[in-house]
Amino acid sequence: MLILTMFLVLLFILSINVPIAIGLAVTTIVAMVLKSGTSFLIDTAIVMFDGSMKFPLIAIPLFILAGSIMNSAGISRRLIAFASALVGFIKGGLSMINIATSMFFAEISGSAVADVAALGSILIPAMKKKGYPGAFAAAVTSSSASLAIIIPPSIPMIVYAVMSQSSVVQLFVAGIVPGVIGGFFLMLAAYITARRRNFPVEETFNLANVRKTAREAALAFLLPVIILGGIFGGVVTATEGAGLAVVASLVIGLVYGEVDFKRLYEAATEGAIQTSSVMLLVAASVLLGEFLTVEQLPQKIAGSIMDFTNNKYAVLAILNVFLLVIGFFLHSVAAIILTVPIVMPLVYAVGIDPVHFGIIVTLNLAIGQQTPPVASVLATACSVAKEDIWDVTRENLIFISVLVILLLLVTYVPAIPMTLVEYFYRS
Amino acid sequence: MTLKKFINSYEKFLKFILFVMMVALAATVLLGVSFRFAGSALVWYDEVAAVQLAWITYYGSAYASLKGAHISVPSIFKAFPIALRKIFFVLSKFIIYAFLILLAYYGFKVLTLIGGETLVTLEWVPQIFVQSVIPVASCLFILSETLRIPEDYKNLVLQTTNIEQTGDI
Repeated sequence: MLILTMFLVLLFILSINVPIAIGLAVTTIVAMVLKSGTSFLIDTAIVMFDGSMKFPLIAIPLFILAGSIMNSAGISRRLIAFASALVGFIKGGLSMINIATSMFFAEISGSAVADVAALGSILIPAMKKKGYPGAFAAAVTSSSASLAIIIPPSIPMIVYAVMSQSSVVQLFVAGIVPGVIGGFFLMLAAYITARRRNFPVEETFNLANVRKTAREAALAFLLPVIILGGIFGGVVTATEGAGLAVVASLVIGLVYGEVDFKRLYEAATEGAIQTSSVMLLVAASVLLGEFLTVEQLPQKIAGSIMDFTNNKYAVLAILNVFLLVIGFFLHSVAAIILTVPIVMPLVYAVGIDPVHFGIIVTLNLAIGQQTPPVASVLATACSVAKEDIWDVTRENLIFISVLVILLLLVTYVPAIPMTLVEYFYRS
Repeated sequence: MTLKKFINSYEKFLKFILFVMMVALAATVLLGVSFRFAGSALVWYDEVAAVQLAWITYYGSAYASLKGAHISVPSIFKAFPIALRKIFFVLSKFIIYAFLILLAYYGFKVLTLIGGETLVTLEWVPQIFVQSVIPVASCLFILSETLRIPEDYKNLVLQTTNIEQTGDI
């Protein structure tokens, strides 16, 4: 009864636009006061402080900072030029370039919102100029940017790893194959659309131009080698890899002579805002977690679902539907923080690998970033393109369908995400 | 000084300290990695970096509040009729203030109890300084929420809560 009341109170508080972090904390505090009186209130301050000191999550501000430096360092422009030389000859060339650049960018940046802001501001106007409908340009930019959270490094994966106590490195490795397949599928969808609607090619294929643009972007290609190579090779942790990303992108920006320090100052403080809004939520979830542990709610939920079915694949279907619905209403990181601690006992009980489940969660939330009303990446793309969110959604349906197909593949063919993990870390 | 000027200076101040904190955090992590590679790992690295993250969390929260950027769910709120939105606006501010006052009060109370304690790895850094972030930043958070009332009220009437302001990653 207490839990149900708590849930309804939380729902009401969130519906009147109180920040989720504060809503969570207030609901937990009220429930704890009702249950055990006011003596624990002093613990609130202690837990909120300790809850924000999660060492692995230091990677969040660092990856955001690295992404900001890259944006102001001419790296996006060089990656786009290279992608253009490589895939610009295909029908619907600029959509191909858009998807390919997003995939490169995703290997350096951990944030889909950062990607869509960085690449969208260059590619969407370029696509409009070439006669692509603005809504289509926004849709392809938005969907391909969401690949950023499947392809490592990925901030949502880091948050998932902390909330589920699983390995960040294994999650990163598990994201590689689904990310590449996702990119290929999106390109296929863009190609079919381009043929149907007769979108233009961008440039003729010219090997000399591929070489030239590759040379110009060579330093940018070094970034994923340093970051992912360091993390996968076990030389540095994900957090330290994020630190290296900051230095490497700064050095490359300085070599290119394109670091705009004024923009960097703004971007770093923007990064602090994003970090703090996520971390406040993490701290509040620790407070909630303490209460849930006492109440044994996650175990009770696991028990009641297992009374209904303990088939792993049926449970995966239930979890997928649950996460997709959550994705309509919550931002990705908020959804992870709120749902993962509650569903993990069920995941373990039916024998789902937590790394496999991490990719499923991330992919669900990548779709959630594309589905209004709450669709952070889509909203950013719409604001860059100055297009209506529902018009863009109509154009985006084909790409969302592609992401759903990828989700089904990843869910029911565990070998897709898990083969590399098994090979490198478990054999 | 007009309110607008005060908000501008306050924002500049928060931005500056957050920029310094972000750079300092990156520097700490890099020092940590460099010393570990050099074969003499810094014992204080993990603890200090985690404290820095906590500081960014709470001082950043005060700034995020000034910009209306905390993660929330504005879409449901926007669906209510205007009269109800006005009532819920007052109620939401009341809930936010109640929480922040509680956090500031108990955060301060904690400081009175941890008098002689220091960081485990850096014994010259007192916990009072480290944990002062909770009451101090909570007060700044309250100030930010208050300064934001006119803007929030304008959005409420015009129904234009900027979706981008609710920051995701």
